[in-house]
Amino acid sequence: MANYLRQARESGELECVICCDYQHTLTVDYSDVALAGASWYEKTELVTTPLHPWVQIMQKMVEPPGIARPEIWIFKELAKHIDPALASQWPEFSADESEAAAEDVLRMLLEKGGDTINHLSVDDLKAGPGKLAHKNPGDKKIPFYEQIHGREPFPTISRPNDLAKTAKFVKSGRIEFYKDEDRFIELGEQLPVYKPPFEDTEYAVDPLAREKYPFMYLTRNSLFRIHSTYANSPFMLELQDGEPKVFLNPNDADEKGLQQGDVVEVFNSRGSITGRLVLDPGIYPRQCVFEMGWWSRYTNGDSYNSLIYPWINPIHEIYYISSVWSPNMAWNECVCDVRHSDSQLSNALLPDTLQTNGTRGGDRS
Amino acid sequence: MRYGMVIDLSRCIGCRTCAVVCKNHHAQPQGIWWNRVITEGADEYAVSVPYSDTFRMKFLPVTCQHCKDAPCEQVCPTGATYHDADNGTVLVDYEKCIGCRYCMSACPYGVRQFNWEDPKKIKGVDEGKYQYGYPEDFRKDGHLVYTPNRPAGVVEKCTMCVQYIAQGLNPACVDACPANARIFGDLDDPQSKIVTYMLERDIKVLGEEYNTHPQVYYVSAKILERER
Repeated sequence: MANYLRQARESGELECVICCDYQHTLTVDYSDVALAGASWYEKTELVTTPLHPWVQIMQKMVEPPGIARPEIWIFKELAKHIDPALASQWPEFSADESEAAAEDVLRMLLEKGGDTINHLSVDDLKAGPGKLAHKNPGDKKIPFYEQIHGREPFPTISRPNDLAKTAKFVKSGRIEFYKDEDRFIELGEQLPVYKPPFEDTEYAVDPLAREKYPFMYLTRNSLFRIHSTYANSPFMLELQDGEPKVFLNPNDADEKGLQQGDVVEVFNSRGSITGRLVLDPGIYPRQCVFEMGWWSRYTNGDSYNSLIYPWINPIHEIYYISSVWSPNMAWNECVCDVRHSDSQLSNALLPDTLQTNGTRGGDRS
Repeated sequence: MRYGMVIDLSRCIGCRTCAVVCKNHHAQPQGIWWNRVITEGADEYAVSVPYSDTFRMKFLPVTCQHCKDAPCEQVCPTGATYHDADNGTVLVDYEKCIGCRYCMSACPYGVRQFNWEDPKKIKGVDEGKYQYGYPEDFRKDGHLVYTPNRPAGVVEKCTMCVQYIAQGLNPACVDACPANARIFGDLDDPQSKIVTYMLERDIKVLGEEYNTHPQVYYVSAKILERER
């Protein structure tokens, strides 16, 4: 699953890869050309989310290091070199003028963004976060206010798409608890229903998996990252002893003859990952947890996603709108087993010369 | 004036922001954490602990308790560890510390840490291109109580952010805590936020039996348990 880019590069399917990144990712290693982008605080950027009604401008605080440049300039230059004839379609500016160019784009977005945002100016946002306008009474943005009080039909708008594209999701114009559609009826999912894990996926493909791989593999979020972002922060690595962990229920570990601190391999027919065992009585029996987000540089080049298969729930195929509604990975629909490993964990805290004896780093006191 | 801190354990979510922001502001090299967050009963992060019929994680942030009767001060042979005359915090003069580490054995809280190496070699990351920590030396009454370039072989610990509180600012961990679990202020001022906060709650200190009289106080997370 996680190796598509690498495989496509090695097979020649992808003949040229150009990437723009602000960190030395594996994608950079597999690229013919790597362009150094600017990171947070090194460029002007607008931040917004569906989770709250505020928009915020991120202003440049420091110069991008080395040859890093704001992406708005990088992509403008790329476009210009790919087809100079089209250069009149965008403004010409130098890398040093990127902030002004980004502000021009932002000004246009605010002016033309409709009545939820056109009351805000670039200067307003420079002074502080701006709140999107809404029809709710008072300061609070109340979910579904227009639908309940204004009798507007559901669904709510899913930006950036217009309402017409998503209206068919709930044909009744209401929140639908009961789904009266062919595919839901066919799969017995008119109402929310429990379906036991693995029966339609892992066990259907390989009936022996039931015995061979008795653990459910869960790749939960880590306390010390946001997904894989900040994975290289020395402080965050130190808080984790510089090593990936495997979490098991103590009873399961006991049955397997494994002890806290052992190096263990989590594996199935598709892949494997290695980490140091931690026993947690709060882990449900027969669950095996590996925290997602570890870059493969910390896991001997392996990916924790190598065990996972992209099962698709057929119910998810009923609608498709790019980036809003599409079949999604069932990340936790995955079985595995755990065994003792003789391999060495690479410790992110130790210099390479000290990597030979498997000594643990960090301050455990 | 007597500066102190309350850490409200019923608010702490165990995120370690206090530990990280402290390390960042004080140029603490790898292996040194002036602020740590312990999960009581667990020896690893993100591990739950059985409590009667359920599991939970009780977090305990631990830093220098700035004891009124500080054992570390009593054993220091050079007077490097002393009480600030203005505000009662416990400080270390890096120019007087000879690295004997008596204070580390004397401290019942295990918060004092020995800087083994020349921190200049390890405090920066990315081959020294990025240097972190408050960038300037800070002296109080002539004592060198903060420097980003610590001499090799000194003992260090929380200073209650001496360089910030001297400017009337809060310690970094107080401002950074996303759960507002830390309250800082003057324990001698009956109108201060910290005193008001303490009067309204059941206050405890760590290791009462040591008679160190800490000026860091805790609100127990047991309040939450009663409400369960």
